Amino acid sequence: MAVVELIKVVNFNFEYALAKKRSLININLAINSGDFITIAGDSGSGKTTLLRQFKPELWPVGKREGQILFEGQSISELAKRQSAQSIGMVFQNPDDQLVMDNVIQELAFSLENIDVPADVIQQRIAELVSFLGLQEILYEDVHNLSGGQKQMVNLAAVLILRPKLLILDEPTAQLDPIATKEFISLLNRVHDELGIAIVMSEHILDDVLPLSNKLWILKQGELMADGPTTAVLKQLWTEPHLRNFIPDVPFLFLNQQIAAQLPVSDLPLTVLTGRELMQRGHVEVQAEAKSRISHDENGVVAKLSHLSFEYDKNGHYILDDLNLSVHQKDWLAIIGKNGTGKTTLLKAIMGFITLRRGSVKLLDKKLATWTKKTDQFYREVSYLSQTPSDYFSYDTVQEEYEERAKQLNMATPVEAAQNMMRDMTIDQIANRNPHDASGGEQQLIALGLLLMSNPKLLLLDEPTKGLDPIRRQKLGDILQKRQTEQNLTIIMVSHDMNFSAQFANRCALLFDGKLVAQAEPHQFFADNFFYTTTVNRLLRYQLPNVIERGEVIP
Amino acid sequence: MDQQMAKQRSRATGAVRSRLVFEQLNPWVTFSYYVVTIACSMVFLHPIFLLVELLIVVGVNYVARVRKQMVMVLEGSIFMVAFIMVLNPLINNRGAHVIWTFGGTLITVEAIFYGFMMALSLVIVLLTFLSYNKVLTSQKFMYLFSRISPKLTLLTMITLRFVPLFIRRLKNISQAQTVRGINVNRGSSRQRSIGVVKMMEVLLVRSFTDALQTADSMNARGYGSGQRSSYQRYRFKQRDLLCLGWFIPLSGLCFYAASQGIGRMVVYPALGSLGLSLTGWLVLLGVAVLFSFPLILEAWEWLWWNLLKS
Repeated sequence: MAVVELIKVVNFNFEYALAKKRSLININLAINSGDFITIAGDSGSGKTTLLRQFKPELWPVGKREGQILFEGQSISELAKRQSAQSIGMVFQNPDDQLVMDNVIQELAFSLENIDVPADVIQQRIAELVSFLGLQEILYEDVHNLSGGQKQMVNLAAVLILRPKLLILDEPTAQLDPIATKEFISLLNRVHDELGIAIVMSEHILDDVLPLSNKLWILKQGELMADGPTTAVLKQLWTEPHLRNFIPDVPFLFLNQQIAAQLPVSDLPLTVLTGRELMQRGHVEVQAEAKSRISHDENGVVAKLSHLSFEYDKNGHYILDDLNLSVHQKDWLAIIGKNGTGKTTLLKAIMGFITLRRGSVKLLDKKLATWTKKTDQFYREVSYLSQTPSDYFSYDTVQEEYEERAKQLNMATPVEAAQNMMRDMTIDQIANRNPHDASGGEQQLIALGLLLMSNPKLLLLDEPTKGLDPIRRQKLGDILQKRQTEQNLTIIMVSHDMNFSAQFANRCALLFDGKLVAQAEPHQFFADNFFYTTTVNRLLRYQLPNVIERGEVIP
Repeated sequence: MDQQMAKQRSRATGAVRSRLVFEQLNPWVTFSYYVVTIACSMVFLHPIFLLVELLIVVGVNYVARVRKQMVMVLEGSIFMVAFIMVLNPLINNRGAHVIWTFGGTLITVEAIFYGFMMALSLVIVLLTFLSYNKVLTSQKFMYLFSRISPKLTLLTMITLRFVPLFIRRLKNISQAQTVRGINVNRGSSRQRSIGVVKMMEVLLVRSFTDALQTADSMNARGYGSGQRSSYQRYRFKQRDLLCLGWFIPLSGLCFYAASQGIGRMVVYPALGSLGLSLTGWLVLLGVAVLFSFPLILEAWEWLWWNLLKS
């Protein structure tokens, strides 16, 4: 099949209404049939703004210059119904895209909108459901689906319109690693078997790069690089700011030490190809496993004994006789798949749920009695949930911080607010509404609010969810500084293994209501076969103890 | 896990994997059953009719697996029956057999008896609604009335979906606000009311931004691009036709009998006899069959799987 140019963008500029500067600057690009394109760039670089230009009905309000052509015609002339059938779009949040209350109606909704007769709807649903394997959940209430299943339904509801081009805006940002892999392999089938062109923006490129033929990098509204994946990765390596975006496997092969031994023209993108190359070239990697300091001799900050929790009478135990001791200055990462009760555990420690059995002791005080003195308790023990926007109450970021300082009876609230905003590196957005900030910024704003009271124990629920690699690094650094300088103790639940391997000093696996393995990260990940970091998987045949890229000597 | 249990539960009430045979029928058939039975329980005011109806409705609720709620309703109805039996004679002085008078109020046997029958009929209606809620899900209800206004139906469905979402969200927001020091349950009433206002604000802002995303997703899938079609999940099958084929004529006959005064006990001015004529007994049989519709289906299913299938 001859390559057809689906979309062509010529000298395109975009400026949001009321904005002071342009959000997209001089964009020139083309999307061909058969392409699988990944777009990367840090938060606020214009990824979403760019993707929305391809759907005229979702155009943000603002000033447009230049041209966007779809199949040779100006995209602004594309009728709404035509656009729905030619260009599909899947968004980041799995919940918000669902309109109807069960799966089959969600699929029918798309076709009803474009006036497809009922018998054709039936046929199209039948066909698609067989292709995607949705039979099991066809009549399921959408509330009962897992995040991964929801996103699959969202994809199906777009595919049923038989688009030529599929646009995805960070579709896996809210999913756990297993669901992410499933979703991406589904995209691979859609691309390979149906021949639909795909353009997708992503933060975590590990899984999606092996499938992509092109990579675009956006930086402050400009298309900094576009071209074949490996060429763009090599270009990224030269930009210290964006280097963090490179996934682990190509990152190691771009590393001086390995590149000197084994100059590769075509960068490996998967563990398999990477390891084959290394073994064939007899590459010896120098690395130093930096074992984490143990704080076991410090006092116990949190002691959980025999925690049991169930939702219904005679129900399944979410937490089942769980015991845990966390010492001062510990950073404990609790790892586990979605739905294993990680959030429930944190809520139990905060006293938000009533335990069936067992007791919690925090900072040598019994939780049951301490939570009654709310003000003091929530100053010393703090909790950041998965939705930072729940913590906002005022119109600007600055106001949030100043009000918080006043509430804590600080002597100089304005200065205290300024200092904290500077620490959190969010002082540039001080006058913005916190709800308008990007996901990563919201995380930092909420974290700063909690750190104002100098808590002794901080509980974090999936703190890196939806963060780009740069913000993720920043978040880790901020927390680590607090941990070493102010004796902060952290209990974090996460499925981000790379982040846990990099920052935690203890890791544990939550399974079947119990913490089954608890060890220093090197020991923990080296012992795991499936639940381990990419770096460990790639190098374990010669360096079983290395778990993160920072340990490989450059 | 509770999620998995919820999954199984929702499967049980789903259109395909239903527990009751009755649930598999077209919503129009189900709906006519409920209209007819509720009407019957209000039309046939006769103790024998009402007691038979009550027994069958209890049976239907039993197989529909709403036993827990049924026990609760039955416990409550004892008080309700007593209350109405006391209240009716106080405000209603008709009847021939006076058993007590005070301050010009006549307490008559007729009024007490009439109160008893009214209360019984009310209990039957309440019990019927238990299985109604289980069998006629919101989706089926929407299907029934979507023809009247498709736009309104879509709006109602989306709204219904948002209610549980709102409740879950409010809980999380209140926890988050407590952690950051804004507490709704403590402090002066002024502080508390400020806390509540803040919380509602956060809820509205969040729900609004989320709703914008939903609108984007609807737009991107061509919503509002012109004429809409409507996909009907519940088709009218032969079985539905067969069911209606005997159900509607039988209901017609029973209502005709009721209009002729059969199955209505004479209470005022003086208590009539409890006995039924031959046609009375026949109509009672008809009403019993109407009420037992779900049970008949269930029994036939049981027979087929256990005895007839070779």
